[in-house]
Amino acid sequence: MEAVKEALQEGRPVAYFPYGEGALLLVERRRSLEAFPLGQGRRLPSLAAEFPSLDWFERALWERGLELVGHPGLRPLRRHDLPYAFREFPHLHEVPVGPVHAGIIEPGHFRFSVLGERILNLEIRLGYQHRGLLGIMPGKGPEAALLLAERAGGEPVAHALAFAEAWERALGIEAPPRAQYLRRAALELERAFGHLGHLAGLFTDIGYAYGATQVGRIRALLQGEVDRLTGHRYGRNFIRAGGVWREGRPDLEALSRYQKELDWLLPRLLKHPQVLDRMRYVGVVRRVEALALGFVGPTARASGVERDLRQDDALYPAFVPVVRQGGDVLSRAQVYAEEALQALEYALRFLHQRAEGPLAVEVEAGDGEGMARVEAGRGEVFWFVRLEEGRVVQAEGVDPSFKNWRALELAVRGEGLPDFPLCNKSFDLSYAGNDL
Amino acid sequence: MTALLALLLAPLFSGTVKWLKARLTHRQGPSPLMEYRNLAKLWRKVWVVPHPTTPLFLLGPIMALLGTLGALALLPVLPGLAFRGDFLLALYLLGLGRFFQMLAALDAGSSFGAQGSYREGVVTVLAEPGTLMALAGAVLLGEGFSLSGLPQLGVENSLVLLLALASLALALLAEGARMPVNDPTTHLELTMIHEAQVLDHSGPLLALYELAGSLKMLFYAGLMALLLPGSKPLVFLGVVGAWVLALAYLETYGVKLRYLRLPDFLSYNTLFGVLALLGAIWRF
Repeated sequence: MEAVKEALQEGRPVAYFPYGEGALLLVERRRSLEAFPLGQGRRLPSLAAEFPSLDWFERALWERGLELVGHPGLRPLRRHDLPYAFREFPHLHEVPVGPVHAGIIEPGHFRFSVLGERILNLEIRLGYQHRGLLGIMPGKGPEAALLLAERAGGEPVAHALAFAEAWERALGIEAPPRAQYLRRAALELERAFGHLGHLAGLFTDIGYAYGATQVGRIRALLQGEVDRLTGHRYGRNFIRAGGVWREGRPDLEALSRYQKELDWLLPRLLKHPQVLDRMRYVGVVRRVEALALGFVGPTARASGVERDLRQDDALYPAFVPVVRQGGDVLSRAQVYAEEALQALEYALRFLHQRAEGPLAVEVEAGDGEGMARVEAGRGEVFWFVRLEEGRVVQAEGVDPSFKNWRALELAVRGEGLPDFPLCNKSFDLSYAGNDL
Repeated sequence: MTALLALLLAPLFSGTVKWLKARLTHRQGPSPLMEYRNLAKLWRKVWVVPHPTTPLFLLGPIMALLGTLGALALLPVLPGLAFRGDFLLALYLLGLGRFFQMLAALDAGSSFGAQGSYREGVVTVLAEPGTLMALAGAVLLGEGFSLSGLPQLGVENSLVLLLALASLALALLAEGARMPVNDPTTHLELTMIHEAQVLDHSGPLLALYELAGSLKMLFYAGLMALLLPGSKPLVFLGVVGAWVLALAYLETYGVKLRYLRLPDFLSYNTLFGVLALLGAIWRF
């Protein structure tokens, strides 16, 4: 127990799922992964009171029938058939928003406790998109499970890649170099157009039509290149265990042209004085908060946490993560802008470098278990899979949004109610990925 | 007469702004005449009244339109009614319409309607005194303390009238709920001002609100036209045309202000009003 606490003190939880008699807690400490089997007979000791980063993980486990001893406030996270009590704040006005919104966006319920226009507390309730994804995977063939995993959240390439790598590790095989490059190229293109989507959304929310249209235009063109490479505008059905299904021919000249255009456009858009006025000092997540709650991806990097899983990937030699210290909406926008350019740079490099050779190796049915992490646009995607006789026995996934939703709760504290949509868009988290 | 002209022009005005905004962002855009079709469509639709509501819910859009039309009737762009002090009546007819609009939004009892109402109230409180003072300054320089006796921009009265024009321009943006005060295209409930008030109204009621919204902007454009030299109906059309360009530009290249920064922005309106009034009294 002391070892777990020590690891959590310095690191952050990566995944926490039922395993054997109890549960397996994975903690990342100093860039390496440590595994701790906890609990017995479906009873787990709760650590959430001491380590708030575990709160949502423990609530999710409790929902799945495990007993968590000593948790300070067990409430359902995804299930809506269990009673749920919102925290009450006497004398404050409550503004409930959602799950049905005026725009076409994913469903989520936000409960604001406000004093005038100032938000003093926000409680987020999700689970409206809960599809029981993890529950329907056991018994399926891993091919079918891969397709399901691909549809888990907003980033199909990253999810498919993480699941495929977990599967490959379970069988002890590796994809050929050509497939490795193609997979990374698709991943980087997905990151670039995802980040441009976040930026276009931010500009829309502050009513900056010119910025939104220009960024949106390049984003749409990039999606066309994703289509040329993978055969699908969102890169679905491209990655398979042991390699990739096909190799398309994206227009490399067009890609470097988009990169140049963005290189000119993005810094100018983000220096518009009114844009600065809207984004700077708004929705601050401090570094200590990011570390204590275990945020990942651009959210953490905009708050000064220098961590990107690509630092450990041999295909990215001497990778330098994009980091900003401000923790506000502007910092996150700057991280998106720079990472989009960086992602295009890497995508071009991978597409130029792809070696000759087979697109995939043969995969045979086998037994074993494996796990993999991939840096998606929103942060770390995790998949664990256990195979027996060619069937999935257990699959566990964690979308980056699951780890980052509470950043929004912190960011809007003290801000005005009309700034909430902007703060929300600056994280642009996936509801489906959280709800699985 | 002016009211009728404005009524005919209003859908074209908002339709052209939408079309131009689309063109500025390289989109095809709906035809400028689309707004007429939109209003006709809304007019034919069924309307849903939330339960429980009082007759105030229906009165809101009706009074918003009648108040705006009444105010426009007092504008001597085309010959019409005129009497001593009519500018006060015109401004407060607009205010009456807005009052009923706010009540109707509160009546449905949704949290967004109430939120829209109190924000609209704040914007009005901030914008109205400046506009009133600026207009009073301009009227003081003219004859008969009436809109029909408003002076025209010239060399000796340029300071007061330019201040009044600037103040009216800010008032148009604030009361017309346009950028940078309010983003009319937003779908985000929490940032809405005007749109939150009309969320519960549908069909013909929404049509009345949309018409009243563009008429309100035409009213301020009309006031500005009265202060400019030249044949009034032509100047009016010119001012409206200039506003189409200005709004399309503002809403494409501009950014919406933070709601909590609105007082900063609208304090200019008050400043212009105070200066215009002082200028008129001391005859700069």
